[in-house]
This record gives sequence, structure tokens and C-alpha cells, in this order.
Amino acid sequence: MFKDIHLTHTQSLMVKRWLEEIARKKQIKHERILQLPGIKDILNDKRLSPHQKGDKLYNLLYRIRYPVLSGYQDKFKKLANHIYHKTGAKLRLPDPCFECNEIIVEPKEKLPDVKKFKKQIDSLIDWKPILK
Amino acid sequence: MSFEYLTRKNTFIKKYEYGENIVGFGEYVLRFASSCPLGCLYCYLRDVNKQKHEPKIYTNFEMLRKELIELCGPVNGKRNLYLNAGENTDSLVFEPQAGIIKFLDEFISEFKPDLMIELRTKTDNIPSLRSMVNKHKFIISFSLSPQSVIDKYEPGTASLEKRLDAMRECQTMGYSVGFRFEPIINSGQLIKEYKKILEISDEKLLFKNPEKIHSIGLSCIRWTKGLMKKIREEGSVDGSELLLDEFVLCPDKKFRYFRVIRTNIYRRILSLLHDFVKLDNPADKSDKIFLSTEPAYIWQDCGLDF
Repeated sequence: MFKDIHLTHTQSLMVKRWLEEIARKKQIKHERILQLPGIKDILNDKRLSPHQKGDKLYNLLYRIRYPVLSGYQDKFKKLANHIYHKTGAKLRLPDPCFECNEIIVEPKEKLPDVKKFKKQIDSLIDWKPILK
Repeated sequence: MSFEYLTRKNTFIKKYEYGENIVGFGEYVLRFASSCPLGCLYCYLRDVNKQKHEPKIYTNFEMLRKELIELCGPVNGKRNLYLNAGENTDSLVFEPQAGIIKFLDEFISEFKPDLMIELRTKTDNIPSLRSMVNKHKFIISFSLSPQSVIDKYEPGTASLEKRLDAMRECQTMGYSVGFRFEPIINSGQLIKEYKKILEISDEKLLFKNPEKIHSIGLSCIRWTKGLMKKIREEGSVDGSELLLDEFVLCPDKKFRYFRVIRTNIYRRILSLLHDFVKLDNPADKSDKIFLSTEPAYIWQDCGLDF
């Protein structure tokens, strides 16, 4: 199905599963998935190497398969970037799917600066994470 | 109901293992059967009991009696003990042939232990409960799901209507009942369907005497890795459809809906519950309503104390 694309072993297993699940969820045939926004562009983009195509395809299918989760992950990334530019502190989730109540702040000396953004952090998924 | 009798080799009673970071209540599990015949598609027992065989009932109750005496007997026994007899099988499906209910009732009469026993069911098989002496020591809890879920995933169970009728009858007999909204399956109609359950419960006067409601538990569907794999391999339409939602790996190695999805579900059902169940004492609300097998942060997100 995907010529000139390099996927790692794990990536290909996941891509295969996600394609099946997306097809079932959207009640469309696998071939139609290739027509979904973005996928066709990746497949036809001659500037991308096979590895780049593989990574991009993997990430896009993940977003299609997990729209809510990936949406919140993107929001977190965006907020973390914003805070980094303002304070120089990097924010990291110990669990990428938010199954914990902590956010790691590095370096720790920047904690007081990051705490100023607590309200924005809390409203991200309506939670009260501990900054560590 | 077809089953075989067998002698239990290892212990009947085991402390329940909640899993990493899961809020626990220190309950014990009574394992009197090898499996459950109801055949719910999502049940974790399908992953545990890999061989297909007829359920076996362990009937060496003399050994169970010794374990119970050791655990909660009058001498050196634990206080305020909670024993769940519905974790490894349906508590009532084998009655009256299994005789476990009668045995437990007689044990309580004899030893007067500081013990509460939860009998959890998806059936309406309650005649054996009528003649029990120690009704105040038993909580009869019913797993409740919308009829659409029952039709699709719970083939051998009683209908919602029958379960609710049985619940009401249990209350009339003098028992406290437990509502177990488990497993909650995410669907577009979810809130409408749970509202319907509460409306029917209300019509059947189940909320009329709040003191006859022991507790209300909520739990979204959760999966072991093994069961997910099994369902994928089976390839059934209904099973595969269940797995199409957004599940993530939790600290206890079970898969659950992504945090935002399940917190949203819990909050909305909790709000519905507060509309229907008038628990006058504010302490009752936090004591009686709980989340089953969820980490502390989900309780916090839902505004519940633990």
C-alpha cells in the first residue's frame, strides 16, 4: 500500500492496526483512507525521504486514530513551548497520556517561575497537577 | 445452570489487589467458583480462564469456614471486614444449588462476625435470599447497564427491567442494595441511556428509602492487555467496535478511556445521580458514591473524596 515509505517494525504494526480501526470507525474502505486530508500529500511529497514519510504518516494516523488524546497532547506541547520561551523551564509529563498527576519541571530552580502559569496548566484538562 | 462440584485446593478468601495507584477499600474476595457462565463479552474472566470448561463450584465449605473464623471470628478476628463474593463469578447465578449463600448466612448466625458481604449479580435469581436470617449483613448489588449494552454484550444475563425489579424486591425483603454502573461504555447516547436507567429506578421506587441504598459505584470499561488481544483475534463485530474508542494504559496496567473522556462521563453521570438520589446527609453522598478501580487523581477530577 505504501511504496517508498520506511516504517520501523513497531511503527508498521501500529500503522496496520490503526488503518483497520480507522476504516472500521469511519466505515470506509482502507483505500479511501489514502484520500484523507494530509495522507495523500505525505505519500506524494517528493522532497521527503522514506524515513521522513514513515514518521509523518505514523504521526498523522495516530492523530486520526486518537483525535481527543492527541488534541490534548498538542495543547500541552503548545503550552510547554510557551512557558519555555517565557521562563527557560522545560515541562514534561511522566506519562504522555496524562495518567498521573505530576508535571516535571526542569531545571527545578525554575519552579517558582512556572507556578505563575498554574492556572493555564490546570485548565488544560481541568486537573490539578503537582509541579515537581 | 450447568456446573460441576469440586474441592478448592487453595484459599477461598483473598485480599483484593487493586493495582498500582488505584483507590482501594481494603475488601476481601470470596472465590467459590472457577468461572462465570454469563458470558459477558468484556469480562476479564475471559482472559483469566483460557480453557473453555463448565464452571466448577467449590463445595468444601468446611475449609471456607476455617478461613472465615481465622479472618473475622470472635477471637483475634479483623473488624469491619468487607467480603465481595461477586468478583470471580456472579454471586447468585448458581443458587440455590451451590448453597454458598445459605452457608454464609449460617456462619453469620453462629459467629456474629463484624462482617459485611456483597453479593453482586447481573441476574434476577433472588428467591434464595428470601429465607436468609441475617439480611442486614448482606449487600445485594446489581451491575446495571443500558438495555442496548445488555443486548449486545451480556448474553446470559437478566434484562435491565428484571434486574431493577429484583433490586426493588430485595429492598422490600429488607436488604440494602448496591447500584453498580459497571462497565460504563462510551456511546453517543450514553447520558440519555443512563438517565433512562435512573428514571426507571425512580419509577420502581428504588430511591424512595435512601437508607436501603448501601452504595452506588461507577466504573468505565477497562481492559487487560490479554483480553484486548483476544477480542482483536476473535474479530467479532461487537467486540472490535468496543475497542475503537481511545484507550490508554493506566498505572495498574489496565487500559481505560483517556482521562478526559472518562472524567467527563463520570461527572455527567454523577450530576444525574444527584438529581435522582436524594441523600439528605451530605456525608452520605461522599460515603455512598464511589468510583470503582480508578486512581486518586480521577476521584479528584470528579470532585469526590476518598
